[in-house]
Amino acid sequence: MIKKATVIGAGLMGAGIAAHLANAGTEVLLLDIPFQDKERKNHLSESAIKKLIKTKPSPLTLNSNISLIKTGNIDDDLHLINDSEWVIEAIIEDIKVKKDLYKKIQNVMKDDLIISSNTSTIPLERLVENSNQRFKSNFFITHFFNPPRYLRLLEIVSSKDSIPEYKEKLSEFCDVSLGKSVIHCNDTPGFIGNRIGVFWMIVAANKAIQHGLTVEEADQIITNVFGAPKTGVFGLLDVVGLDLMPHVLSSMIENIEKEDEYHKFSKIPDIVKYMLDNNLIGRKGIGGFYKLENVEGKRVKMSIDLKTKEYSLSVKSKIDSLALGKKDLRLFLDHDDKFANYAWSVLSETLLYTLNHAMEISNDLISIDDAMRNGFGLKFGPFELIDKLGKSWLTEKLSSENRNIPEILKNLEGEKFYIIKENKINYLNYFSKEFEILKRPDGVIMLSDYKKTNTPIKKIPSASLWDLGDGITVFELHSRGNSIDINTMKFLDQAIDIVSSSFSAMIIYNEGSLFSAGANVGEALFLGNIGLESELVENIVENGQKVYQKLKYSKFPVVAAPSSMALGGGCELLLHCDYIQAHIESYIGLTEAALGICPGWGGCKELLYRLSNSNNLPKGPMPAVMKAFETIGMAKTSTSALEAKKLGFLKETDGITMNRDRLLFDAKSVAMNLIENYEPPEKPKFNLPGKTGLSAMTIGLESMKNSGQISDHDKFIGMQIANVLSGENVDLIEEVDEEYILNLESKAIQTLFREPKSQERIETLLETGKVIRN
Amino acid sequence: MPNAVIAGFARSPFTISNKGEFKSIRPEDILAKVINQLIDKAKINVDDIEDVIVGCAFPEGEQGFNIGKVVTFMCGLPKHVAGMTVNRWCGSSMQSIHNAAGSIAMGSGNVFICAGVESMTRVPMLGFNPMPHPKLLEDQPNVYLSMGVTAENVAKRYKIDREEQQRFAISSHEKAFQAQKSGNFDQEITPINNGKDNVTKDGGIRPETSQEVLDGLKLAFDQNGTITAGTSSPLTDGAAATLICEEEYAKRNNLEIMARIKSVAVNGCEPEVMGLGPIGASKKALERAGISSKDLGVVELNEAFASQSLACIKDLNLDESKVNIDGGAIALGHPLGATGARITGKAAQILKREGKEYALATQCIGLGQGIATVLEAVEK
Repeated sequence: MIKKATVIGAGLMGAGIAAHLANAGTEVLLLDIPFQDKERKNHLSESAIKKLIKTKPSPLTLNSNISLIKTGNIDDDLHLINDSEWVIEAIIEDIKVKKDLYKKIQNVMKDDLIISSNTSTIPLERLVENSNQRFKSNFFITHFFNPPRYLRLLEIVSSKDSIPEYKEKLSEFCDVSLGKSVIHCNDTPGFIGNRIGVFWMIVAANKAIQHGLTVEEADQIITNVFGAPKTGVFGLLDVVGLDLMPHVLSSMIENIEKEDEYHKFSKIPDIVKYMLDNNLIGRKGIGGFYKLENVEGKRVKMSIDLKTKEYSLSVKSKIDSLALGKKDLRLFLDHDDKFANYAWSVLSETLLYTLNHAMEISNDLISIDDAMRNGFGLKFGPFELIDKLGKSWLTEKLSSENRNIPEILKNLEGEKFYIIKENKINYLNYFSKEFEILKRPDGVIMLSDYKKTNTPIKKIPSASLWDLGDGITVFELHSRGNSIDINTMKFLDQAIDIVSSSFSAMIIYNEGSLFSAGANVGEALFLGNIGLESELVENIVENGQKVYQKLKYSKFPVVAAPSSMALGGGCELLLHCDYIQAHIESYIGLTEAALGICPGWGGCKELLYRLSNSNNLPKGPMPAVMKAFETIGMAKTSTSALEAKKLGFLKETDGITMNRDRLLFDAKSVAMNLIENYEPPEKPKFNLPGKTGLSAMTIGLESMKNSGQISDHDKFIGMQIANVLSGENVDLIEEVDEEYILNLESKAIQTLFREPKSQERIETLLETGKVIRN
Repeated sequence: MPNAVIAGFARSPFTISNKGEFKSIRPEDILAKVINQLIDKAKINVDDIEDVIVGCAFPEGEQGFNIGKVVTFMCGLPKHVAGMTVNRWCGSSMQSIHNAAGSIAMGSGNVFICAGVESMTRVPMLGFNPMPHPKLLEDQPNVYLSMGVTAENVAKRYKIDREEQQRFAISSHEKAFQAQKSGNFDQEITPINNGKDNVTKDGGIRPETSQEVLDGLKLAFDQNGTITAGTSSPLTDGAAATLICEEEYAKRNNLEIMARIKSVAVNGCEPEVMGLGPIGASKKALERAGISSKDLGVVELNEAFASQSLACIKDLNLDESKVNIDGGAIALGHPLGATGARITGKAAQILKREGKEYALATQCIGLGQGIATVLEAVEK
C-alpha cells in the first residue's frame, strides 16, 4: 500500500490519476504550475479538483474521496513531494518540459522517492538522459489509459538501472490497490498499447476511407471481427478525441524506426484534416464522426460522410455477409465483397504488425493480448484472434497474397498460440519456441481459465455449477444479460441441494459483462399475456422467494462476488448471500420500479433488514423504511461498491476488491473462512410502522407528483412499494417476520403486473432496450 | 400588572442547510454561543434568570433532550435556572416570548431567556420519524399538505403572480444586503466558529438576483403554479435569543430596554392556506393593543413565502415600506424554531433605531395558524 503520493500535472490525465489514487484510499498532493494571478497560485490544481466532481462518468468511486486530494503549485510546494512515497509526472508530452521538471525534482528529492512518468510515447531511456544515478534508479514509466478509473490497462516500463524492490512495490500497488491490469513492457515507442492499438485504429480508419465504407459499416465490422465495443473505430476516435491523434502519431513517428509500418499510415487523411480544422474533434468538440443534433425537439444521431464531409442521419448498416462469420470468422474473411475485403485488410495489417514487432515490445504474447483487451476493450487480443483463424488458414491466405510470413508464425508448431496440455493452459514462448504453462499471479483465479480445462458439476443453458476445489463451488449465470428465468431458478434450487450434500460453500460469480440484469421479465410478461397469471405468481414470484430463502438459510455459506451491474432480481440474489465480496465497479440497484413493478424476491425485506441494522440512520420506525423507499422507489443504482455500502445494499462488513481479476480469489478466501463453524443466519423480526408509514410516503409522493417530478403511474407504483415497506396494516408494536413482508411483496407485484402502464414499460424495455416513464 | 420588556437580542448568522457553514455544528452549540453573547451584552445577573425557554419546531435528535435545559449547562448558568422547550412549529420562539410575558404578568419571575433554534441540516423538517395519522389524512388531507402547496393556494386565492412574488423576493435580498453593508446586523450577530472559520455573515443573501435570474428557476411545488425556490424561504440553520424582563426590574438594573410587549395573540385558520395565519393573529393582537395597522411604524412579517407575505400585507392593509426593512426570511433564511425570536427581537431593535411608537411581529405556522406580537416604545 502506498499511503501518500504526488501527482504533478492537473490536466485530464493527472487529475484522473489523482482521483483514482484517492479511490484506493491514498492521500494525494496534486501540483501544477503556479497560476499567473498571485492571489490564486493553486488555481490550476484547485479547478481540476472541482471538475472531478462534475465529470461523468465520475472519476471518483465516492465523491467524498476528493477530501484525500490536497492542492499546490510547483514553485511553492515541490519540497512536499518528499512526504510521498511515489511521484507521478503527468504533464505535457514534451520531452524538454519534462526534463526541466525532473531537474527540479532531483534538487529536492529524498533518496527513496519513487518517480514515474505517465508518458504515452516517449521511451524511458530518453527521459532520463543526463539525470543523476539516484533519479535513474528510482524512475519508471507508469502509463495509465484514459479514464484512469475505468480503463484497466496500466503499462509499466523499467530500465536496467531500476531498483527491483521499487518495481515490485509499484506493480503490486497498481495491481492490488488501484485494480489495474499491470503489464510490463519493453522500453520501445508507444510501449504495447499505443504501438499496436493506435496502429490498429489508424489502419481501421484509413482502410475504411480507401474501401469506400460508411462510418457505420466500418464500425459494425470492427466490432464484430475484433470483438471491439459498439463504438467500433470511428466511435472510439470520437471518444478519444481526434485532436490527440496527430500528437500521438507524430510522437510515434519521431521515435520509431524508419522501416516501421507506422510510416505507411502517417499521413493524416483529408477528411480528418478537415475535421480538425473545424473543431469536429469528437465528443469534447462540436461533433466528430458522429454527433447528436436536435431535430424537431428530438436528439438524433448524425454521422459524417467520409467523402462529401456532409452530416446526415446515422442509419444502422446492414451487412449481410457478416452473418457468414458468426460461426467461423474465416468464412466471412474469405467472402468477396467490399466489407469482407475491408475486414481482412485491417485484420491482416494488424496481425502482421503485431507478429513482426511482438518480440521487440514484449517478453510474452500474453501481455500483448492483455494490453489490447484491457486498454482498448477488445474481446480478443491479436494472438487470440489468430487462434480463431488457425495457423494454416492464415499462412495460406497471406502466402496467396505474396505477403511475408512472420517468424513467430512460422515457428509455431500446431495451429494455435494457446493450447491445453495436461489440463493446463499453455502459451507459446516465442523466444524459446516452447509452450509454457500460463501462470496467473498469486491471488488471481479466472473462471474462464478453469472452464477451459474442467467440466461443470451440472449445467443448463443459462447457468452452471462448478467445483472450484477445496469444497468450494461456483454458481455461474451465463444467459443473455445473465437474466434469471424459471429454469435458472429451478437450477439454483437443485444446486443448493448438491452443495448441501457434497460441498462446503457456494460462490455466486460470473465473468460476463455484467453480474445479472435481473429476472427475465420477458418470460413473466409472456405468461401474463397468455392468461397464465397464476402460473406467473406461483412459478416466478413465489418460487423465486422460496429458492432465495433456501439459499439464505442453507447450511453452507454463500458468498456473492458481483462486478458491473447487479439489478433487480440479480441484486436480490446478492442480498440473500451471507457475504458479498464486490468488485469496486459494482453497479447495484433494486430497479424494478423503473419497469413499473416492485422487488418481489425478497429485495424489500432484505434492504429493510440491512437499513434497520445500519448505524448511520436515526432510530425509530420510519428512517429505515423511508431510506429503503427512496432507494427502491427511485430505482437508485450505486455507481461503485462504496456507494452500494452507503445505499445499504452492501453491509459495512462486506468486502471490496479493486482488481476484477482478483475477485474470485478474494471471494474464495472469504468462503473458506466462513466454512468453519458456519451457522445459518437467525431469522430476523421487523417492527414496521404500518399505515402511518404509507401515509407519510403518500404525502411525499403527492408533493413530487404536483411538482412534476413523477407521473401518476410513478405515484401508484410508489404507493405499492410504500405499502410493502410499511408493513400494510401492522401496528408498530407488533413484530412481523420475513414471510409477512414476502407476502406483501408478492401481492404488490401482482397488482403492478396487471397495470397496462407497467406492462408498457416492460414491453418497451424488451423491444427497444429503453426505460420509459409513463 | 407587571409589564414585560425586551432588553436584549442576539442571533447567530443564518446559513443555508446542508451546504452552509453550520452543517457540521450541533444546534446546541450554536444556541449556547448566542445565549452567552446575549447575557454578556445585556450585563444581567445570571442569578436572576428564572427560565430558559427555547422554541424548536422539531425537538428531537440533537434538538431533543429538552434542549432548553441542556443549553443551561453549556452556557454555564447557575443550576437553579430552569429550562424548557416550546413547540409551535414556526411560531415556537415567538411563543417562548409569550410564555415569558405571561409569567411576568403573573409575577412569576423577572428575567427570561427566550430563544429558538433549528438545524434543518441535522434534524430534517418533519423530523426523523414522520408518522401522520392515517385516518385524519384520509378524512382531511389538507391538514398534511406540503407548505409549498399551501403557498400556491394563497397565491391563487389572492391572484399574486410570479413576477410580483419575484419583485418581493428581490426587494428582500436588496434590503438584507443593504442592512448587512451598513452594519445593521453587527449588533445582533454572534460570530460562530465552526471549527474551520469564524462565521460572521448570513449565507443566503443574493444581492445579484433579478427577475431574469428568478425566471430561470423551476417551479418547486406545482407544475401549474407560480412558486419557485427563489420566492420561498430556504432551509436554514441558526439560532436567535431575546432577553425578556419585568419592566421595573429592567429599569432598576439599567438594562437597555428596546420595547415593551404590548399584546400577543395566536389564531387558527384553514390549513390549506396556512400562510394567511398572520392575518387573524395580527388583527387580534392589534385590537388587544387598542391600535390599528395604521399606527404601526415597524412590521416584521416572516417571509415563509413571497405569496403569503404579499397576501398578508394586502389583507392587513400594511405599508410595505415599513415591512422587513432589514430584509426578511427569503434572503436571510427561516430556521423554523429560531425565526420568532429573530423577528420579535428585530422589530424591537428597529422600533428603537427608527424612533417609532408601535411595532408588529407576526408569522404563519404550518397546519393553519398565526402568531403575533405588538410592541411599543418605552419612554426613557
